[in-house]
Amino acid sequence: MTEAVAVFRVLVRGGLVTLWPWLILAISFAVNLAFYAAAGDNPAVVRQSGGILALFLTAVAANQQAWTQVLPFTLGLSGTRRGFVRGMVLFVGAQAVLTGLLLTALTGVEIATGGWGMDVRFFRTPVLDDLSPGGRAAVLAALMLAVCGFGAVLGAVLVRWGAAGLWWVVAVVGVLAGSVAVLAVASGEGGAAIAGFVTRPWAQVWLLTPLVVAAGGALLAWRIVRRVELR
Amino acid sequence: MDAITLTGVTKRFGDVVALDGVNVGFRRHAITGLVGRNGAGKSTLLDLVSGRARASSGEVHVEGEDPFENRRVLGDVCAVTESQPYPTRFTVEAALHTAALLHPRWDGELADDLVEVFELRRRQRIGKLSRGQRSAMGVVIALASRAPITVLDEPYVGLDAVARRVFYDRLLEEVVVAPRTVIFSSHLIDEIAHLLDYLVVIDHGRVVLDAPAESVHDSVLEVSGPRVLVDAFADGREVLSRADLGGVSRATVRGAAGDDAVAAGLRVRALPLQEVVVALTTHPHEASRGHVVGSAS
Repeated sequence: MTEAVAVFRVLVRGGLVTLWPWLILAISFAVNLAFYAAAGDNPAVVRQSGGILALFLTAVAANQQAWTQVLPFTLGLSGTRRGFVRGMVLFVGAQAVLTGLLLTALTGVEIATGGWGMDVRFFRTPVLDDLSPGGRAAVLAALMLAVCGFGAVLGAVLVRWGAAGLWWVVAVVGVLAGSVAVLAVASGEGGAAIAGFVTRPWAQVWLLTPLVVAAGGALLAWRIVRRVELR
Repeated sequence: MDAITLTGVTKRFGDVVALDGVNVGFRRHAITGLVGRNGAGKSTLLDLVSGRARASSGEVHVEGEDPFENRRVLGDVCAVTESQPYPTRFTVEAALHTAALLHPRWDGELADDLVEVFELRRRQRIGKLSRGQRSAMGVVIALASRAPITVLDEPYVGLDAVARRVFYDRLLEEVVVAPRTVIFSSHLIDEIAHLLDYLVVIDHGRVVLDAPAESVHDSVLEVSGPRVLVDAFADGREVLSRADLGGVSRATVRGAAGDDAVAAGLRVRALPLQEVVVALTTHPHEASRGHVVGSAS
C-alpha cells in the first residue's frame, strides 16, 4: 500500500473531515425545515434558504483540522510531507465527488417533493437552476474542491507558523482585498469588472474559477509545508 | 558498522545553536543511550534522524541515505517521543491502525498482546487518555512496529515503575527476536543502564562522550585522599570536578586507571552511569561551594 492510500484511509477512518460537515448540514437542514414549517404559508418569508452554505463553511474548518492534526500525526509515525499531501489530494477528490453526487441527488428529491412539501429551496440555488444534473454535480464538486483548497492553506499556515501566522494571513489578505476594492471604486470600473466576470459562460465562472482556486490552494499549501518541521 | 551517522551536523533555530558540528555514529543492532541535560540537543538530534527536521548544515545518514522526506528510509524508522502528536479525537484503535499502515513490518499480534499488557482500551479517545496511557500507546507502537531503526525519546513519561520495567523487558526481548538499532534518550540513566550497549552524552549541542556503556564506568573515576596525593594524581589528567575540605580532596577524573590511583595511595570509587553523566555535563557556575568543576590540572 502506498503512503498516500494509507493517509487517505487515516482521514476516512478518523472521521474528522468526513462526518462533521455533513452532520452540520443535516442540523442546518432540520432547522430550516422546522423554520419553514413554523412559518407556514406566510408570503413574507423568502423560500430560498442559504443553509447549504453550512456544508461548505464547515468543510473549510474540517480540512484545516486535517492539516493541523493529521499531518503532524503522520509525520510522527514516519510518514512524509509529500505522502500526506498526496493522501489529502486523494481524499479531497473523493470528498468533492461525493459532495457533487449527494447534493445533486438531494436536489432531485427536493424538486420531486415540491420543496419538501413546503416549497423550500434548501439544496437548490438560483445560479445553478439552469444546469443539468451532471453540470450541477460538477459545479458543486468544484466548489467543494475550492473550499478544501482554502482550508488547506489555512491549515498549512497554522502548522508552519501557528496562530500568529494565521493572523498575519488575515491581515495581509484584508489589506490586499481592501486595496483592490478601493482601487476599483476609485477607477469606477469595479462594477463593470464584476458584471463582465459573472456574464461569462457558466463553466468558466462556476467550474474553472473554483478549480483554479483549488489548484492554487493545494500548491500554496504544499509550498508552505514541504519543509515544515515537527516539533 | 554504524546504521546512523551524523557528520558535521549543525542545527540552528534562529540564533540558537541546538547542535554544533556533531559527529557521531549509532551502531547497527545495538541499543545506544543518548543522554544529556535539558536543552542539550538530544531531541533535536533524534528529530533529524527520524526525518522530522532537517539539519542546517552537515549530513545525516540513516542506512546510507538522508531520511528527510525519504519514505524508503522512514519506512524502516519508528520514532516515539514524549510529545508524540496524536489527534485527540482519534481512538487508540485508530492510532494503532495508522501506525500499522505506515510501518511495513508491523506485528499485529504483538500489538494486541502489548495493548493487553498495558491495559489500554482500544475504543478510548486519545484526548481522554492519561499521560501514562499515552506513553503506553507510544511504547506499543514503538515495539510493534518492528522497525529496524527505533528512536525513543523519553517514551515512558507518566508510566509507573512496573510499567517501565515491563517496557524495558519487552524491549530487550524484541531486540533479541528481531535485531534493531535503538537510540534511547532518557533522563533515567541508571534505570536504563542495563539495556545499553553504547552511551552517547551530549552537552550544549556537542557530543562529549561516545563509548561502549561498559567502558564508561571505567573511564571516569572518583578518587579521594590527602590533598597532596590527589594533586599529584590529577596532574596531567582531565579533572571533571573536585572538592577540597581541609587537607582532604575528592576528584572526579576522566581517563585514569583505577589501579594507578590505588597505587598512588588513593581511595577509588567507580561511579554509577548517572554520576558519570552528571560529572561530564556539570558546568563551573553550577558547582556547589567547595567544588571546582572542570579544573585545569
